[in-house]
Amino acid sequence: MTDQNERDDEQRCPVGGLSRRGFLGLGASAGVGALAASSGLGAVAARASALPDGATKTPAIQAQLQSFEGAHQAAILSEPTQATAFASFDVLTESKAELKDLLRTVTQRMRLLYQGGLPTNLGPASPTDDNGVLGPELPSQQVAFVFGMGSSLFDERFGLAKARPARLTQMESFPNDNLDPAQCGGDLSIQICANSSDIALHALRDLTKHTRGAVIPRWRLDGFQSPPRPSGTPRNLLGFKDGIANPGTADPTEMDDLVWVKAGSPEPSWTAGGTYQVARIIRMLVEFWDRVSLDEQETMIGRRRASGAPLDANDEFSIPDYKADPQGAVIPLDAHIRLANPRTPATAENRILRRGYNYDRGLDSNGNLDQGLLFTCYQQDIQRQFVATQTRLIDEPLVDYISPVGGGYFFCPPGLNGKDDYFGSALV
Amino acid sequence: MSRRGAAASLGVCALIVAGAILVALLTGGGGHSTRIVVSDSGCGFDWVAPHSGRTVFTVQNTTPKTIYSVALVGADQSSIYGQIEALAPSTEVPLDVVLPPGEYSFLCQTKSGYTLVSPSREVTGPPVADAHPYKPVDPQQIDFAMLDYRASLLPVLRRLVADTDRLATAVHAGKLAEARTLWLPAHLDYAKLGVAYDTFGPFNDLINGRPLGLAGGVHDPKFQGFLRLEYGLWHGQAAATLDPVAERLDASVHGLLKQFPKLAIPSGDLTLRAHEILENTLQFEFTGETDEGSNTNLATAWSNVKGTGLALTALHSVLNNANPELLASTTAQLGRLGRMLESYKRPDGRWVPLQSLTIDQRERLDGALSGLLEQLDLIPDQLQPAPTGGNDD
Repeated sequence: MTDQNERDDEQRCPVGGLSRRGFLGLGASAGVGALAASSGLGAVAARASALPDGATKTPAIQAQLQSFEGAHQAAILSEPTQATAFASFDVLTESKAELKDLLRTVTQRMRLLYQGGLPTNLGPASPTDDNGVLGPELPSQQVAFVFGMGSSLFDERFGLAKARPARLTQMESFPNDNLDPAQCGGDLSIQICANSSDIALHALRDLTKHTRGAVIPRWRLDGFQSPPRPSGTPRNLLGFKDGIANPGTADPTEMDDLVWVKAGSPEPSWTAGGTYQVARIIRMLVEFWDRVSLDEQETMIGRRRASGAPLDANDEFSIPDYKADPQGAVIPLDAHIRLANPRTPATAENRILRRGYNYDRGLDSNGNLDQGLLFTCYQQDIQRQFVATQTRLIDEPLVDYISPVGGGYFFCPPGLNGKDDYFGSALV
Repeated sequence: MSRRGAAASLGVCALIVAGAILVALLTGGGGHSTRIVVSDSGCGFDWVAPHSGRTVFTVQNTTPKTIYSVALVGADQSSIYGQIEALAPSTEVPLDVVLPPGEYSFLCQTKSGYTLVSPSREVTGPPVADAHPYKPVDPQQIDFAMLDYRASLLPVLRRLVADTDRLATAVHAGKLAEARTLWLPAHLDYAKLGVAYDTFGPFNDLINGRPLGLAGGVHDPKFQGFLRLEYGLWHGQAAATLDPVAERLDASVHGLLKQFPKLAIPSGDLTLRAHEILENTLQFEFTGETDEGSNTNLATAWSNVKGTGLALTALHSVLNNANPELLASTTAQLGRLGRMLESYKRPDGRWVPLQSLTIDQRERLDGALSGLLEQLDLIPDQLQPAPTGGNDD
């Protein structure tokens, strides 16, 4: 719900043509990997190719393999998918060795889910390894993950206090927040991104099954991305195009300046290449909002609802010219987009990479729709970026129509160094 | 929850017809057909061995009769690598197997009670690490375990009767404060019996029924038993109102004890019990769903753990033969869960209400129980007898 620089469209859904090399190196227990390594593959492959398959013709989730083996978790820079499942988990294991097993398992399951193929055959004397929600064979390269760690993971339990990312804290409560502790925080965060909700939910169910007893989900929220209406940036549930301006993900310098953690003090060395994730469950009081005149809505946001253009321009991607409007006669000084990103040299370093999703989860106790925004953003330094931005937004006129109820701060470790690496390997 | 049919072991086949004559219906001439044709006169007669590793066969019943079971077995004729139960007439199903190098054959059980066996074939290729065959358990061993289990329930039943007598006496005397104290031990006796699903038939509704589906809810006359009494005792109902409730409960409990020797419990239920008792605990006790005012769900859960312990104890030797690691890990985790629950029992014998636990405490309990369930759920499958369509009259 903040507004920043130019969007870039270059990363939208490139088609992947990845080989199966990604899972060939997994251990024998890794199921799909073992399948590929075994010589029964011929028969299986023949059967697979005979499937009337939507999966292989669907463009792959972009760049995901790089997130497993590369400097960064690439799904962070990917454009939002059509569906997401975000979940926070608390870790229940009691030793560092068990934590290591957990992190290995989580990473290994993510690889398998991404890679797809026939689920592991556990033999006739066990319930099936896979839940069957996606049919007998999992689609390939249709799911992406972002993995994060909360500050509570770095408490005394596992002896990780010294390794705590320097800017990682519990999420504070801002004025006007209405936080429910049961929907806040968590030791781990996992965001699952896919282009249909069954794929995201299948992955969530798989991950919870294979980590049962070692972690427990603390809170979760599903989200979706609307298609362009009628064009351009997708709309949020206030009816406004949301996410028009973002730092350029195709510009490595900008990403290095704003998103990725740099090596060197005060950060511990293992964090370099990672990033901080802020997740906020922002309820939108849509019934109240719908009783507000269009003029007032547009004045609060600072953009035209129909086109997404800033109030001083005709095009959604125009840069608002605040210098020409110092008194806020056109775009009020307390309009959302103006507070969020004043577009001054001093505030350039406050910018964040937003990855928002709409959510809709039933009713509240008054029969009002429980809808809103699953806001996530990525940054190098939560205080310098998200907190500075959010602080400018305190008491903006829009606060009457929204109510942040949950969320958390997490650190997303860098990408994996090879096919045997796992998230958190530098820690345990 | 699946209920397995009664079993006949592979060893008792009446007749083995090797190499039954059947015209091959193989597709393609390339050499590696994965089609297995079975009928009441032939069982994969000219099946082709694949290379070692994973293969998905297609098993096809070409006859108008159901084939009770099809199993792919190793050279020892007892390790099962894949199985299909009840293959209906003119249907085909995939059979997904992982095979290390070695000799294999198919066994088919027909409706007429025959076991047909296919020619033995050699699977060649590199070693395979992730095959998970199982050896069917001798059904007689499960029968013996069931006898042990029933014997272990008897003292619990007798204690239930004695404790319920005391409870009913207190209610009858109008001593409701005392009744509230006596209610819990009697209810915990019942919870230790590990009643899951329809184990005790109509007795469970009489003794521990819930008001679900009753038009009058908690006020419906059909709502009776421990939970009905709990509702009254913790909602200020008069002794005169509760006296008949307690009396009926006591009578039901006596009836259960009397009927118990005659209550048929299928042997297969025991292995299911090993995980279903605690499935119910997670669903009904750890949610507080069954609470009618006493706030004793944690105590009930603790008793359910003890009840699961009785089932595991009865299965000890058979599980120890089949999968000692599973026995060790489930026993350890069950003990740990029991100790976690016990920590919520106060020195005066009262229990901390579930509703007063912190998020962290709830998470630890939920995690321990649901993690344990992911292990206990293996027991019915690990201890299954050989596949069969059931007794043929």
